[in-house]
Amino acid sequence: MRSPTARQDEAKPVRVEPTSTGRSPVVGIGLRRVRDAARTSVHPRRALRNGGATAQRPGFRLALPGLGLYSVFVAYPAVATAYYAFTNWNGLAQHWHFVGLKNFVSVLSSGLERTAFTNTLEATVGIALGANILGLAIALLLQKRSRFNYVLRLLWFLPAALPSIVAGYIWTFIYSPSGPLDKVWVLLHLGAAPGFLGSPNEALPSIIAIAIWQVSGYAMVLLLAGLQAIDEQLHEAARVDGAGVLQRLRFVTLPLLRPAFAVSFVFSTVTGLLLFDVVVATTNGGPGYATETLATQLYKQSFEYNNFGWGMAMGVLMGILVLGVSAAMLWIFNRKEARA
Amino acid sequence: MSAISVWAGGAVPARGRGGHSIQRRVGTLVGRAGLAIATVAFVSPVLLSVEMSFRSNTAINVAPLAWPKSLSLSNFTTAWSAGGLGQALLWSAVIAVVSVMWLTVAGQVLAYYIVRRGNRLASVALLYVMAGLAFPAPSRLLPLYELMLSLHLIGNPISVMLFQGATLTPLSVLIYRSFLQRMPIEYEDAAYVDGAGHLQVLRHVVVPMLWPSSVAVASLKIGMIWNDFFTPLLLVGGSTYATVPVKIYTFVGQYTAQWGDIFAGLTLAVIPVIIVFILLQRHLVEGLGAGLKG
Repeated sequence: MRSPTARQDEAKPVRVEPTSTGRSPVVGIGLRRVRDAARTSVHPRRALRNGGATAQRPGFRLALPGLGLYSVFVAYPAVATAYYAFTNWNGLAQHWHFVGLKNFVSVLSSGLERTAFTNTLEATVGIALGANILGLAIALLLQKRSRFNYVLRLLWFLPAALPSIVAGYIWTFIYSPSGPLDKVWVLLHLGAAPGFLGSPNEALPSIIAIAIWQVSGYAMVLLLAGLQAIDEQLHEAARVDGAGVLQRLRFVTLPLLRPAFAVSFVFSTVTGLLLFDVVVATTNGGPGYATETLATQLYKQSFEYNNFGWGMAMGVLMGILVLGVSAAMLWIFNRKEARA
Repeated sequence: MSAISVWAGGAVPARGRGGHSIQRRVGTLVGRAGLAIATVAFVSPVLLSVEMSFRSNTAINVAPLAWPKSLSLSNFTTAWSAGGLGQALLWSAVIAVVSVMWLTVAGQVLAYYIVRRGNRLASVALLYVMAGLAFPAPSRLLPLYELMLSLHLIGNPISVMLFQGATLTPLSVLIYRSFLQRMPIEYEDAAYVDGAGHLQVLRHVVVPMLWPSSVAVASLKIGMIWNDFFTPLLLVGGSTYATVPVKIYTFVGQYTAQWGDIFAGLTLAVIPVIIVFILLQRHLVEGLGAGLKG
């Protein structure tokens, strides 16, 4: 339905002589023709640009369903987290008051949370580097078009399609004492098998390996797309100039892959910063606090220790980290891109 | 970035360069064998867990890598009925379908408004929606929980639908926006000239033309919704409406170290993912690319 005022606006460019009945001289279907003539007298897009024919632009009410749900279940909780993080609200009380930065100070000065923070950063760096290096290697090996490579690409993406919690449980079994990996270790005469998830020093690297196993599929797909966007003639030109395989990789492929790397690095770092499912499935933060992450601590502080203030403060800190790291990744890769 | 080319595409390998064709062919064969072995090793944890699900708990504990002597389906009946995974599969599917329907309909209309309106209010709306990407689920968890509590939706699958529908709105707007910007406006103009209203234009012009991007949005989102664990654990954990990852979590807690039953549960959780993945793999990449590129 179009509003009457809008209809008037549309009819403006053509002068319609009013008759004694007050209607347009052309009645019935003719009326539509007059209106169409009015519309087409100006190119529709130009009319849009000139601010005429407003009826052709969708109204704000079309945006309301999407914006409404988003506002209630995303925007409100986000703003509320940022607000309550500065109060002493415990999630139950009717009254609360501002405590300034107290929650942030106590979170950041807590040894446990500092451990969770360094663990998370370690996991983030490990996952981002591991997944992208492995993903790049596979993408380069499988970049030629063939049915064989097509099947292998699907298989390399398979772990990425699994729920992370399922991946965590599968690997819990694989890492388990006298489990499959232990047997493989003995079979290959590698000496005593590591303790994996049970050992304080090896638990976090073991979890990082699971995450790399999953995230490298995404990196491979994104980098394959980037590889396919590179003009084959550039490689041919470099080859003619006498560049070897490694030189072509260094001076042609890698610089042109920067946009794909930017996306892939944002994805893998955010996965690392929010690491939760795999930890819950494998160690639940142990042994001791060796694999606590920000996300597992947020859950435990909020729902096991009813420490809502800490939970909110950690939520805000995680949001800042995600935003900061994503922006940094995009900035780094775009800057290099500009220089190349 | 074309979707099909990412899986099936790439440079056509150069043939017949140089004279040593037999040597070259042997080299290719050795390379392929190496790649195939590496790939099988990479996916072996998945293969192993499917194989384990047919074996008894004791057989697994005694010899995890031994060739199975007998296969049985009893683990699956345990996981399906006693473990409640049959029900979890049903509710996960309902939640994923309803949320994805919302994301395609509301996301499409919102992106249409933002791109075609093009005024300051539309830019503000875009910025407002994109700001959501900066707030990961943990940054919203506690007020969301309080909100769902006051709406009496904790333990109700509707809470997960509302959460997923709202949370994934920015990403779906981003994908639709990148497609809409490349779509010529002339078709819509022609429809308006013929006297169509906005809803008619949406139904008869925009929705059909954006159909490929809707498939991309749907295939990307189904996986994300199906696999999500962090927030659904809080919203429907412990209820009869638990989603598959949440149910797997409680199931493993109940059947500690009974690996045969656990692997049957994991296999049940994985099979639909693999089927949907094989059906939608082409579109998934398109969604991933468009979503992250924009």
